This record gives sequence, C-alpha cells and structure tokens, in this order.
Amino acid sequence: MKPSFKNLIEAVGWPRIIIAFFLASLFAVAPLVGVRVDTSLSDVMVRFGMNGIMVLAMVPMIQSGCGLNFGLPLGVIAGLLGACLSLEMDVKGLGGFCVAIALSIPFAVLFGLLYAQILNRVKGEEMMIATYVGFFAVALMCLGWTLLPFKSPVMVWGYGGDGLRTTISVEAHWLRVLDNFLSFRIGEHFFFPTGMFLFMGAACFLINLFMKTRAGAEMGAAGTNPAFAKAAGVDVDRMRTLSVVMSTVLGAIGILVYEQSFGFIQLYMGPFYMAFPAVAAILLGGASIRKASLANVMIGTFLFQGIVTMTPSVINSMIESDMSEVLRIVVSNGMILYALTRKELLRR
Amino acid sequence: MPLMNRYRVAALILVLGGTLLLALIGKQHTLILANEAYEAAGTRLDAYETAVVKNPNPDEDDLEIYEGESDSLQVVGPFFTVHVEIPAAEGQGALSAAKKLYLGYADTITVNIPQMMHENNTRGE
Amino acid sequence: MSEINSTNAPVAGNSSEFSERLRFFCVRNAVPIIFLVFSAIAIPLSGFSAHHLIQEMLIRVARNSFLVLSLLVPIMAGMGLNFGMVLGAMAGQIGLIFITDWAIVGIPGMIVAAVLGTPIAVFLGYICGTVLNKAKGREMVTSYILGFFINGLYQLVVLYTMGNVIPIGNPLIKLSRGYGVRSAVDLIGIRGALDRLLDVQISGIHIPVATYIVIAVFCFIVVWFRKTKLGQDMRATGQDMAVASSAGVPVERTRVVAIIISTLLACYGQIIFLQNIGIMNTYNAHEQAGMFAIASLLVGGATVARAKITNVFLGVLLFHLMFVVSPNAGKTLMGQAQLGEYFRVCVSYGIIAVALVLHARRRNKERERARRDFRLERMRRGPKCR
Repeated sequence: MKPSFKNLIEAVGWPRIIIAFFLASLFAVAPLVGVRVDTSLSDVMVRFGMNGIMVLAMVPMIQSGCGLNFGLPLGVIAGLLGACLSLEMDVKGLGGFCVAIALSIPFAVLFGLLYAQILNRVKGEEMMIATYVGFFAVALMCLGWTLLPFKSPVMVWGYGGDGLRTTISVEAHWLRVLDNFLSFRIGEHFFFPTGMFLFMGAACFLINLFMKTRAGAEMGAAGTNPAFAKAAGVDVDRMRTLSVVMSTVLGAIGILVYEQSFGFIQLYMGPFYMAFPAVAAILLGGASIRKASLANVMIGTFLFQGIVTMTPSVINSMIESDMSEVLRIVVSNGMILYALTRKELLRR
Repeated sequence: MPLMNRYRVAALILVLGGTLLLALIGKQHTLILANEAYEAAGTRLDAYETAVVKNPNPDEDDLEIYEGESDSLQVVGPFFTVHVEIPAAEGQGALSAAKKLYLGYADTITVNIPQMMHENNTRGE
Repeated sequence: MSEINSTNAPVAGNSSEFSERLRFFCVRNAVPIIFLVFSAIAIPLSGFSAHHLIQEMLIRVARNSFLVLSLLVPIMAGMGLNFGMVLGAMAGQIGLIFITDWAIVGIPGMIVAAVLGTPIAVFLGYICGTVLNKAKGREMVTSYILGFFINGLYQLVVLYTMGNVIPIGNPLIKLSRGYGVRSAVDLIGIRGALDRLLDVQISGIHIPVATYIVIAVFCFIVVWFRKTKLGQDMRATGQDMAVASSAGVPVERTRVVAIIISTLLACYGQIIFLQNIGIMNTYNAHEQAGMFAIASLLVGGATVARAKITNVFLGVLLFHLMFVVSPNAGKTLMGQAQLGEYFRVCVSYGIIAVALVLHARRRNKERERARRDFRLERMRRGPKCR
C-alpha cells in the first residue's frame, strides 16, 4: 500500500500537487470573500479555451526533442499577419475568422521552415536560441507593422498616419465567434464557450491521430533517442522540421483563438513574452523537456489559467492589493525552473 | 566552524565598523531652525522679529526666518555649526551666535533660535 | 598522428598567409566588424557632432563597463552567459532603496549601499550557482528563467513588504497607499557621486576619472584573479569539467563561487550604473541591465566560451554608439525616429541570437570531432583494448 502511494505522488510530481491544492483552496475560499464560484469557473473555462491551443503547440517540439518552444512568438506573428490581412479584407463573422486562419497558415509554414533550419543546426542549445530568435522576430516585425502598407481605417493610426496601431479591436469583425458558437448559460453568471472547446477538442483529436500515425511515432522516436532513431532509419532532421512547422502553425491558430475571445489584436511588443505562459502551463501539466502528452496540455492549461484567474480575484478581496501579476510570475517561472533542474537520463 | 577563524571575524568587524562610520559621515540631516517663542520651566523667551541663518551652501541665500516661523537646512555629516544673526531692531543692537551641533544618525534635529541666542548670551556672561 | 590543429588558425609560411590571416580575423571578429560598419553608416546620418558623441560615449562606457565585467568570470568557468546577473543588480537596488530611505549621501552612501547589497548578492549568487549546478548543459536558459523568478520574488518583497514588514521611513519613496516602493526612486543623494569625484575637463568634455579608476582597478583584479589558484580552478573547470574533476578540482563548488563573484560584481556595477543615471526604475532597471550587458559583451567579439577584457570595452563602446545613433539615423533615413529605435532593438537581439548559434555550432562540431577522434583511437588500438 504505502510504496505505491509514494510512487503515485512521485509520478504526479510534488509541484503539481501543491498547485492543485492551492487552486482548490482558492476555490474554497472564494465564496467566503465575496467571489462567485460560478463566475470564476466560467472565467477559467473561457481562459482555458483561449490559451489551450498555444499550449498544445508545445507538444510536437517537445516530442521531437527540440525542447520547449520558446520561439512561439514566430507562430504568433504568423497568426497576427493572418488576422490583419483578414481585417484588411473586411470579412466578418465566422468567415472572417476562417480567412484569418487560412491566411496565417502559409506564413506559419514559412516561418516554421526557416526556424527549423536554425534549430537543426544547433542541437543542444535550442531553447536559448529559440528565445532570442523569437525576440528578434518580434522586433523585426515592429519595423514591419510600421512599414507594411495596410489601409483599413480600423487598423491604421488616425489622422492619416502611417503604420498599424498597437492594439486593434476585432469587435466589428469576429469577436467571440467561437465562444458564442453553441454556447450556453446557466443562470446569470455561468457562460460556457462551447465553440472554443469544440475547436480545441478537434485540434487535440487531430494531434492525437497524428501521434498514432507512422510519422507521429517517428517524431516521438527522434525525440526520445535520436541515435537509435537514426539507426532505425528515421530522418531525424526531417522529423524535427515537421514538428517545428506543426508547432508554429498551432501557435498561429492559437493566437487567433485567443484574439477572438480577448477582442484585441496586440501588435508590436505584444507577442514578446507569449511563449512563457504556454511553457509554464505545459510543464505544470507534468510534461518534461522531452516528453509531453495531451493530458499534460489539458491539466496544465487548466491549473495555470485557474491560478491566473483565481489569485487576483480572491487575494485582492482578501488583502486589498493586487498581487496577481507578481504571483503569476513567481508560479510560472518557478515551474519552468523545476522542469529545467530535474535530473534527466542524459543520453547525449 | 571552519569558516569562522580569527582573521575572518576581525575583517568582518572591521567592515561593519567601517560601514557604520561611513553611514555617520554620509548621513544627511534636516536641520530645522525655529524662530518661535520658547517656554520652559519658569522662563519664557520671545521670538525675534527676524533671524538670519547663514547657509552653508555658498551658492544659495542665507535663510531669513520671521517671527513665529521655521525653516530647514539639509546638512551632511555628524558635525555642524549653525551661525545665527539677529539684525539690529528697536531697543537692541545686532546679535550673533554660533552653536556646534553633533547630529549623529538623526534624521531631523530642531534648534530653537531664541533658546540658542539665550544660551550664547548667558555663556558669554 | 591525426591532425591536432583543433582551431582553424592558419599555418605560418604560406605565400597567401596574409589573406588567410585576414580571413581568419574577419570570421573571428565578424560581430564587432558588422557593428563598426553599421555605426560608420549611421553616424553621419544621425547628425550628431563628434563632441557630443565623444562625451556621450565616455559617460556610457564609464557607466556600463563594470556590469559587463561581471560576465567574464562565469564564461571563464565554462558556464556561458550569466543571465542571472540581474540577481546582483536587484541586490544593489535593495541596498540603494535603504540608503535613500536613511538619507545617506555621496560616496559614503554608495559604499553603504554596496555593503548592504553584498550579503544579498552572495545569497542570491549562491542560489543561482546551486540551481545551475542542477541544470548542467542548460545553464543559460536556466539562469534566464531564474532571473525572472527572482524578479518575481524581488517584486513581492519590494512592492508588498517594504513599508510594513520592512520599515521604510521616508514617505517620498513609498507608494501613496502607504507601503511598497515607488516605481521611480530619485537618487539625488548619490547622483554623480562617483563620476564627479574627479571630474576632468578637456575642451569642454567632462571625463569621470574616478569611475574609470575604479573600473581600471577591477580590470587589474580580474587579470590577477586568473593567476590565482581559484582562477586556475575555474579555467580548468571551464575547459573540461570531467578532466578538472579527476585532477582534484572541486568542480561544483568552483562553479558556485564563479556565479557568486559574478553576482557581486553585478551588484556593484548596478550601483555605479544608477549613480550615473540618478533615478532608479525600481521594477525595470535590473532587467535592462542584464540584456544590455550581455548584448554589449557579444558585440565586443566575445563568445559564450571566450571573453577578454578588450571585448568588454569594445563591446560597450560599439553597442552604445549604435544605441545613441540609431533613432536619429532612422529618422533621417525614413522619417520616423521610432524605426531607428526598433532597428536598434532588432539588431541587439539578432546579435545575441547569432552569437548563440555560432557557439552552439562550434560546440557541436567539437563534440563531433571528439567523438570521431575517440572512434579512430579505438579502431587504431584494436578491439582488444578496452
């Protein structure tokens, strides 16, 4: 009895247990400080849907051995380009959203291919380089957003200015199109964004399907042990490239899902730090630097968004101050640190 | 303990002592000079109509403090000498006095001008 | 015997030796050369006078060099770029908060701030070193994330406990709600304290001689340090951990000490930096310090595995030259100063990315070569040899 309980704890991992307890306690305390549980739960659900796909984007690269995708901003930028083009073409509603996705995919594939070229040449240092390639790309696009010839009045600076605004509202076009699709309300306070969940479910299903195909298996093999995989005839570099492209595409789709719920497109320095919450979420869900599963995505996103949503409302009501931002920094980076310092079977 | 041999302890004490000394040397104080009536057991001294305090900073003007008011000076370091002059008015010639102050680690120190002039006069007698 | 020429250095005695050496020089120092070219183009475009630029550069080199110096020691010990230097910067800032509260001014104020920051820096350095030892091979990412993590704790302390749990008397520093430090603290007490201590003027240009003397002293200390036992241990650790360990070097401890030294120097460097600027951005100043210092070092031609003192000064000079000149150059070129600004940020990150890529490739090549040599050795000796 006892040893297996201990094994269970080790398998789940102390940090996850601690965080889960913390979250549960926040929910328990909430009604006592005047925070409605149903509103909070609803908020968490919505945020889960918003961020889920970006967390999912981490999985292919982890599986193929490229480490945590700190270069997610590349995918985000592709998505932003798609969104801007869709707004420029002034397509509204679900159609506009689909156009945005369709337009961002070619960009994402292109960026992913370039990015993979770099990563394949730097095996072993992928994470650090990914971070700075991501930063570089964001900074480069800052120049881009200013110079690209967009004309739509919704997006461009007023008074005949040049260049896109920093924040662009999507209210007139495809705000909440996924959220509201088949959504339902329970009472006045609980809103369930069915559309987003369906979308996310579909994405997860497709990824799962892919993992079971031969390509998926090869990708996993390349990540677990590149030497063996190579001996078995797997083209490791090609698998890595495929995983990077998949990751970037998911990142592009992810930011679009996020934007349609959030309501705004954030350009310029917006995407700068976007990789970190996704990385923290998947690590929180139990993934390691070399292995990630869909369960990690679900659990991790839920726990992370739960903490991010509940801490401000509950703690602010308790102590009249806003510790949420700081606590989020501590928790998310703490998780990443824990994952980075875990002893791993170094088979390099 | 292997870390705490005599030399290390001595060096540590030296550093701490030096820091306390530096804190004393570098401490900035607000010296408040009050030209207000002074009341104590038995005696009462009235404020002067005008009191002029010499400003240690040569670029700035001397402080003119009128009756009932107070002004402040920023002073650095543990020792400071305040110079006060009372310009000639009806019934009195000009007076001047200086007071040496030890400021220590205090943030603010208040000097009552009438009291200071009185001390100076009585000392002179 | 297999070829032992592990570097790509040209062999002497060829007729094309000069062009070989030139090519070698250019590849080795590609980054500073690129920056020089950029600057050469951008300076005339910016319209700044030589007088203004020289003054600006003298100030900036004095202000930033110490922080960049702090990065040398971990590179020597083979730990890569110490992104955790922000921990030292935070320690220095905590010291400065206290001396501003206690109104200790001038050079004594700076020294007291340094003394206050020292135990904090040592503690944080110790944590950083220990964490990095658990993440061998991933030091840079780990120190990067650790920087963010400790930043969170720093904010927790400075924004929430200072003013209530930790008593702060001066109301000017505190936020209007009564606790927590303001986001911008005026350091009038120590502004220019070191710079103006020995201010020499040559034809209207102020030179902060005292600051340069301090920097020079520390450069000598760094040079001396390399020759000490500890310094040798670090270099051995940096070259090859396994070999050093078998030679009796306490590898783990040496690495931690390297980080502690780096963190301490970053603490003092941040104090010097802030005394020049005069205002402390309580919640941001340290982040920028880390980024700029690392970018400067890389621009100076250092790599993740090798850094010299010349890299420090050359790097600070070139990086800040571009920093100052880009906004105006961008304005002249394209009518928007903002573009120059973005360009500068872009190039800074790009440089770091390029340097990291080059380092990774070199490391992989060396590993590949070591593996190949090992296999060749085994084949040569035959299967009987273990």
